[in-house]
Amino acid sequence: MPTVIDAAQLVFQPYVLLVIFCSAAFGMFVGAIPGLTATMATALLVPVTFFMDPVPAIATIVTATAMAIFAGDIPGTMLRMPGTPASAAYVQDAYALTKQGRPEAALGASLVFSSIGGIFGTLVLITASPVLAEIALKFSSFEYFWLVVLGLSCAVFISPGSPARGLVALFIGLFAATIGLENPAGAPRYTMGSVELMGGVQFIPAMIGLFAVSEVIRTFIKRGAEVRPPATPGKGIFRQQAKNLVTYPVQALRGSAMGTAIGALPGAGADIAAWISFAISKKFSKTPEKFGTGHVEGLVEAGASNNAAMSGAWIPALVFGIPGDSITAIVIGVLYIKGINPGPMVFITQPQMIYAVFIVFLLANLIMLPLGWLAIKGARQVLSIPQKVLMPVILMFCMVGSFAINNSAFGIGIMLVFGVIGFLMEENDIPIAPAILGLVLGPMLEQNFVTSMIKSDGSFIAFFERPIAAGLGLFTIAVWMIPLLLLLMRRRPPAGVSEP
Amino acid sequence: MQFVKTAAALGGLLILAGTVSAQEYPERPIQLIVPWGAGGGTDAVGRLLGAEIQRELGVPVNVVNRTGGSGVVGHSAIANADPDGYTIGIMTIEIDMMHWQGLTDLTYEDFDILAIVNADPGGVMVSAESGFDSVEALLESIKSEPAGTYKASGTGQGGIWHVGLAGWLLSEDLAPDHVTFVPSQGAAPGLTDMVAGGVDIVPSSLAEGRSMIDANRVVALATMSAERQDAFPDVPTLSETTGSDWTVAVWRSVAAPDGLPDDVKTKLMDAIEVAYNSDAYQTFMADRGFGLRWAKGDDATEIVANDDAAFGEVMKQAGLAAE
Amino acid sequence: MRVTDLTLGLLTLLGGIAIYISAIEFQAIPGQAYGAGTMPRAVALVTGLTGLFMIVRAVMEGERLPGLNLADWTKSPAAIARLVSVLVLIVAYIVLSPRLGFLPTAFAVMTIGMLILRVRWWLAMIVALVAAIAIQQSFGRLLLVPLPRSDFLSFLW
Repeated sequence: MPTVIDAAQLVFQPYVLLVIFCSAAFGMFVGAIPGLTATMATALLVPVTFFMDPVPAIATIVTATAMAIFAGDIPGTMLRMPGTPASAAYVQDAYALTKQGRPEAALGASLVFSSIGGIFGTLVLITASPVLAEIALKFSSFEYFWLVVLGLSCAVFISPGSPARGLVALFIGLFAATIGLENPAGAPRYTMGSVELMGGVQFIPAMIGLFAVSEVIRTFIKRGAEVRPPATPGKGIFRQQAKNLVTYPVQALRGSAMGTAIGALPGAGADIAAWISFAISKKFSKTPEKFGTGHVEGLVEAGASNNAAMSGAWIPALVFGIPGDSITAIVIGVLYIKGINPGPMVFITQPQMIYAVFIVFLLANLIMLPLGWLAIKGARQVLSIPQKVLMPVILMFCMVGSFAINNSAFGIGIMLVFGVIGFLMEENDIPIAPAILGLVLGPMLEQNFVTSMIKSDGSFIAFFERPIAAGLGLFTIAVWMIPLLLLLMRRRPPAGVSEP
Repeated sequence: MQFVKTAAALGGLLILAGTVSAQEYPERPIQLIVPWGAGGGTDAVGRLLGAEIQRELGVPVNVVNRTGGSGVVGHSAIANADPDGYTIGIMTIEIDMMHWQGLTDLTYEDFDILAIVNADPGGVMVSAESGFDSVEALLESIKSEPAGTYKASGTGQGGIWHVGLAGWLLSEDLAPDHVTFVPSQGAAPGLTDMVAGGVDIVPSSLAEGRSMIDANRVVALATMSAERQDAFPDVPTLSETTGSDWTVAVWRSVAAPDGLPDDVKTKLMDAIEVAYNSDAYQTFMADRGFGLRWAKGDDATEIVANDDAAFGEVMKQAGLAAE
Repeated sequence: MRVTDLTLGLLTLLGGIAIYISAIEFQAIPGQAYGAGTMPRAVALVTGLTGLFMIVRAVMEGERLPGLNLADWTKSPAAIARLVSVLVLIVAYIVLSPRLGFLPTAFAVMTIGMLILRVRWWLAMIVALVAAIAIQQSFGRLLLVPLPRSDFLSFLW
């Protein structure tokens, strides 16, 4: 207990609190700008942290990323421009709520349950990280292969419409992911001699294209004729969410737990977690048919899962110094510079430092609530601008955001191509979300499949030899077989009910 | 009338631009291209050096990440920029390998190499559960088992540690693929996979395995350098143990497109030298466990050229080079 | 512009075949049975199977000929022109911004975009100017994104 008090003394100083506040505001700003990412916010802060003491340095980055991840939901909800592949899981429902004039319902749920998920993940981090990290270390390419397949399967099953169309979307994403040099063989594929194409299809410009540019194209075709219902003034963002918490306590808890568990696996992270949670939510929902039409249930579970996974990613990072994503990689670097060497020993040699970091985590997830409330209040003003004025400006943001990812006009090219693809897909009722996940997880799927085959000398049995791999594998196969069996038992569906 | 005004304003601007460019270098922000992602080791080195160079030259140095294509995209961006001193970049060892693989025509000769600022030798690391306590025992076991029994990982196909492993095996009179190489997306995934029991050896730099070594999960058996490393005084060199003279190290350098004016080049090299010797850089590198190495201008170019030749040799023998 | 189930199935099958053919040239990692071709071939296989499945199901439901249902907007030349205009605006930005610099190009692209949507010209110009400067300041200055810069109007930067 004295350690905790020491740790608190390190954190609760005017200077540290000011730093937390400023970096929170900065993270909120960067995250809320369409096309900018939490990773970018972190990278920009690194040089600043060189000149700080350890605790404020860590606090700066931790707070800014937590804010940026939540704030990424704002353009997702308002303009259908999700900031991360994780938030793409529930952007359909969030945007549908905006179209009904209730953006606060979506953003409030996202805010409150992000915070709950983040706090849950932090508590697990404090109490159980050595144990969880031990389990995470048992994951080799075989286990990751099944996990990725499971994540992709979820994307297909949660998409509205027929699974066949979901599969088509998934293959578009998987194929796009094969472009470039980033494959286990290191061989250029479909590059047509272009150096830029060697870099492959970056998913942020592709995501901006698929979701946002396709929406811009639709608005131009209709000449912005679409009339939105007037935004109904919110009854109070937090009061709505208190009601959600009473209605969906299981969902919030399940999402938080699932997110923490998957987040603790280095490399899997928030993306897979949010999708699996959304699928679980739909599967166990009493009203699965409402998903995709502006239903908050999935938002609650996947939103909590998303942020819990962010906290979970710190488990292997702190215990073994293994970065789970680019953000933890940056922070591990900062930790080293500040003389806090991640590893099991850090809990023994510098406990007050680690507890100070934990306190910062909790603070970051709490300060998110008031700042997020302000951001939501501000952001709703955007919707009072007529669409015909807003859309060309959004198009500009899309282009600058796509450019900023790799500081290259090539990103805008990717955005353009995927904008057209996204438009055609939606015209044909092909869901967009599985394509995103295919693009994001395609390289991981390939990496783990090919290396597993090399390691097992070509034997498929090896995918079931290790206990965790066998469990995940059988579960994934069951997820696919059960609907097929049900389909076979029902035989041909009666004519007319296939698809609208 | 409007047109005349605009034209006059434009003319004024052009004159202004003309006089500005006659000023002494540097008079506007410098772009520092990093061919690897934000958050990685190269990015951190670039950002820190950038901050110090900025202090020295008095103009902003903006770090720009151009990632993808195993470094080809970013290196091409540096080489294709105007050689005016306003675009420089961090050039990494991949420049000595990618052209042998047939990925690009770009070689180190397309750059003006300003300085080498860091080098990390390769190592031989195994899982603590493997039971090996010396590199001799490991080598003995590799030699006695059939080819392909042992598997190694830690970088992509044809990446630096793949070449380092092949070079070591060749120097021990083994076939370069006697140990199967499993490509991974960097040292960290390779190390995790090794601890999870997926592969047996990770030949990456010891700095990359430091946290796992400290956690007693990974054992460092040897360093592929001529001398022992300061950060790992207990880890012997290959020549001390198996007697192999093979050495390999990743280095990072600052480079500009070929054809930089001499005065600009001198100014930049001096600024980088000051940045290298700054307290911030020195302590940062020591704290991260990165190896310090300094070579300037022609000396740096020579190191790069020697590695280029050595890697070409190994890669051809290992079948990693394009025909 | 909605294709029928049968058409989509055929397209998917053709896509699978095309990916498979294109992947033949990809070589395995030396000394391994797997490599660059493994993934595209696997994707091609499942894509083709999905396509077949869709075709079979569509035929079972009584579809005989592939078809295309045109959406309402495809009958309006003006709507098609507006669709094309979005693409032209994006291409124009890619081509012109490195030459003219960010500010003038962004201003022009946004103004024209709003004029196409029939925003009043003075409002369009004011909004475009404010937005261009705001984006340039926030991305370029604050977040250090190297937006295209040219000597033209460079004093603003």
